[in-house]
Amino acid sequence: MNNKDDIRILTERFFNGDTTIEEEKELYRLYQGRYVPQDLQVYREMMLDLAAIGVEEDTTTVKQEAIVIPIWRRPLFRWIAAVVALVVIGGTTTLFIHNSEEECVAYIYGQKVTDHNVVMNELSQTAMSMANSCGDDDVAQQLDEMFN
Amino acid sequence: MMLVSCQMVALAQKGLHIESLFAGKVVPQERMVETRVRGRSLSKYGLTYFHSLRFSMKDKEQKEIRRLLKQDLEGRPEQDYETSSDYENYKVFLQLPPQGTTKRMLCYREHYEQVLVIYMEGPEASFKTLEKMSNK
Repeated sequence: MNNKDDIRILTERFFNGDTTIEEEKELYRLYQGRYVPQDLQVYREMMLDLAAIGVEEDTTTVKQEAIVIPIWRRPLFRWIAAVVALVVIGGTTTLFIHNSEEECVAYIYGQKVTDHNVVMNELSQTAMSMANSCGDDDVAQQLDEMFN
Repeated sequence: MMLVSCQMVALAQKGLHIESLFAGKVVPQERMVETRVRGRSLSKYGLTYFHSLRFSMKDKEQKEIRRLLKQDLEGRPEQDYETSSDYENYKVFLQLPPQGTTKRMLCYREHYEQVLVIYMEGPEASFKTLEKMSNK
């Protein structure tokens, strides 16, 4: 296949929207050459313009790629990520410890009760019953003397 | 740290034979009223942990509970516990060795078949604390 056939096939594929980037570059290169068939000359100027735009875009992309640093590689981002991680871990740990140190529950004949007032009332009643059990004798005083 | 916290919660009465009563292995939990409080709700009483059981026992359970209590009292200095017994009542008050500044106390009372058991921990865990908690 010679250049004339190539340019004709690629031009047809180009207008059908079937060309790849590489094929388009090749097509622009062919239009910049000397062997452009007469019937395709009408497209020459357009192809040269597209070729010029393509070069500009390539250059811009290269420049941008050279400048752009992924956000996760920026020092500030790393610091922020580290602080956020510490806050999340610290918060979770504190919450866990807080929860494990806080409990207020009663099981009344198998029924779980978490109402603070109900539980504390039960606690108070239990303490009262125990304290009263020693109220009539001198055991209470003995206990206080023993344990204090 | 999390693991240690979990273990502390789960094993407050560890080392006591009566632990199996608190764990529901002697009397089924469906027949008990159990109260378990830990943390800020107890701070005004100078306690960090309060665990109580209230239930009616059967003869077989009474024997088992008394056996556990006897085992817990064995080998302890006399000044660390007080027991009293008559036809109606059987009581045991046991001051356990403190863990740092945390005092630990076990109170047990039988009145006929009615049983009350309290285990408590805290810097001010004592019989007086029970009186304070009952608003006497």
